[in-house]
Amino acid sequence: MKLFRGIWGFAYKLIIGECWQIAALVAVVLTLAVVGLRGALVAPHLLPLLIAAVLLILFPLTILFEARGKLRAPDA
Amino acid sequence: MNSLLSPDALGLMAEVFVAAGVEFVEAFTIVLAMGVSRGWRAAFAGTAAALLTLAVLVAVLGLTLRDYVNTALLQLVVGALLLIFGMQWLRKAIQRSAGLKSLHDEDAIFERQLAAARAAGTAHQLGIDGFGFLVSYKGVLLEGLEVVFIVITFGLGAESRGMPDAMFTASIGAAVAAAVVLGSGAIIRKPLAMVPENTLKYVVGLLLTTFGTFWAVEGLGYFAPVGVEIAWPGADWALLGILLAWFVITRIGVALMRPLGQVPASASATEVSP
Repeated sequence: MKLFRGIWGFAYKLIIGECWQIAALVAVVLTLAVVGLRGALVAPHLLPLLIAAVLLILFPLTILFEARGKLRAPDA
Repeated sequence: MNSLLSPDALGLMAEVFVAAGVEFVEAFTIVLAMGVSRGWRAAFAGTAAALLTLAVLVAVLGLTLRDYVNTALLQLVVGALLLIFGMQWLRKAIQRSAGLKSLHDEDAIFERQLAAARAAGTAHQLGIDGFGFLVSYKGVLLEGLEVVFIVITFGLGAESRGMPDAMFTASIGAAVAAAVVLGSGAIIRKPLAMVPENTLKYVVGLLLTTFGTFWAVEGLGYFAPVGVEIAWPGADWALLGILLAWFVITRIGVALMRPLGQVPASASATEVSP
């Protein structure tokens, strides 16, 4: 159990790191892209630009909300 | 040998050298702190064990990925991981530029590691200090895995541009970085605080995020219906556009975050971390 916890903690630190919101953002955007692609909801030639635009817009907002959250609760 | 001295190969080695060098500096600081405080035997044993683990991982993963995993799926997974790594690095760079986080300081990190090591209890196993071994092992393994991803990123990128033996060339860049960092560290026996890590990490973060965006999108082709191709407009030239877009967005991020960095120091989330 201790070994499992250690491996989980290591993997979490490596992949998710200090800001889980970034990993969540990437996972959600790519999952939605797959859904859009499979369901023919998005034109395939527009998909690259659409994904890039979403990531570029949401990334600064993600870290802005994270920083605001930390400032509101400095002890957290 | 000639191909290793071509301008393309030298450029690739230089890119990997810089990116991997930053990681090796961080790993070196941890091992140095453990060596000084807990004994060199544990620090070296932990480092050797981590390097062995990395070698096994690379060998097993390398064979599995090449032979059994679909290329598009591999691009998607590696691209997604690179996006996460790169965006984490850019997040720190933005926070540092905005004054929300202290600049990365190897001296401060060294002192912190030293204090933690001295405060920890002693538990020897097989004549080796357990704390020193584990901290060295985890530090080298964590930074080493990031180096592996860096080698894969730059190696695959060069391979897709038609460079022969790109992965091998990238590995040489990483090996030279390791030799230079460890050699320099062994000579001066202090944390390598003079390395401009903050700037380098920002540049490498931009590159990782750019390649991550490019590959994650191309890798989505794995899920595309038969006959549908997912490709960037302008093919490889799109990389330049993506890089520029991420650069602009990070500058906007700094501008958005700067007001938060100007709140009183007691309320800000300023911290020293890797």
